[in-house]
Amino acid sequence: MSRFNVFLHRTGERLALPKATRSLILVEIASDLEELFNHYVQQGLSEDEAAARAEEKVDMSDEALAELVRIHSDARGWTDRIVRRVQPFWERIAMALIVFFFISALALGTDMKLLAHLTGFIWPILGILLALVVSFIVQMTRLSDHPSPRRLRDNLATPLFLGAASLVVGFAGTGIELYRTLMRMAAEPEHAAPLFAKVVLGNTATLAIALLVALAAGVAWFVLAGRVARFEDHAASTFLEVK
Amino acid sequence: MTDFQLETQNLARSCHESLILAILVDGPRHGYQLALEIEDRSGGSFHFNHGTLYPILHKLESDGFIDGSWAEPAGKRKRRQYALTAAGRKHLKRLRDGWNAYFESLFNVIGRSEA
Repeated sequence: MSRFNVFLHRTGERLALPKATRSLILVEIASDLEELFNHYVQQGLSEDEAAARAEEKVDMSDEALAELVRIHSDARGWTDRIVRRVQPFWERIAMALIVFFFISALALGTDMKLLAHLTGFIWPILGILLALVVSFIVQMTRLSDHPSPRRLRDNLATPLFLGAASLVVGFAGTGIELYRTLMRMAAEPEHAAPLFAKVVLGNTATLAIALLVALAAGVAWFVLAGRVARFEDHAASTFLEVK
Repeated sequence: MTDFQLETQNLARSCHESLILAILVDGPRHGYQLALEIEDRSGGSFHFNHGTLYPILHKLESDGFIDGSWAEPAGKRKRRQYALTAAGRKHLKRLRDGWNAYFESLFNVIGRSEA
């Protein structure tokens, strides 16, 4: 990649970032190097002097590189590696298994008429499910509009947050319902057995839905992350074409 | 006084951000153009190293103050250019107000040099 190959390679080695992100940064640096080189040549410097001056101007300190890495890194580092490692073959298999499990669990829940015993905590969980569906549709639409490579990951973690929220509501709801029932059982010991059966059924049903919503959130994130990773890899390979 | 306070612990960063955003008011620029123009407009007072420039540009972009896009001039390598966003204009105004308030306070203490 031109006269700055060694410089770019050296800079790239110091950038501890995913390949696609690192490539985009290097392409930006490479184009600036070329422009600075041309600028200095026009000012009358020899090609060697201009190249050295451009490299000196663009050279990044360890602090600047660390800052760049910090800006482009977040909790997604490990998730990034997982997504890239498993796609695309394992992505399909995992997707098929998750969908199968999802449908089976839903069918089982309906068959056992668990849904009739849902507690009031089902409403916030359904609200989270609605938010998840809307967020997924918005993200897929945005990705199909070919956004800027750096904006691809905007709001990517939303499904994960929604999944976590569903679990929190499900488990907190179970705890609260159990507490309420135990208090009633203490006050009405003669009705303890039916009360206990009712709370177990209600909590099981609500928790099952909360888990399914969390699972759906995981699938949504997995699909979005896989799509973003493919976009980034494609963008990196395109941008790295030598002109 | 303004509600916005400059980060006094990090004046250099606020200064760099102000310079970059101010240049982008006149239209989109590439990274190298920004550095050269800042140097030129400041009469050489601000020597902007690109090594410092990239982290600031990328941070401004991730904050939504500037928008980066790839331009592909005929026969040339793809180049990254940056444009100011509406949020960036507001941020620049806050920075300007912050600098005014900062220097006002500073001069209140040290006094202005006599003409």
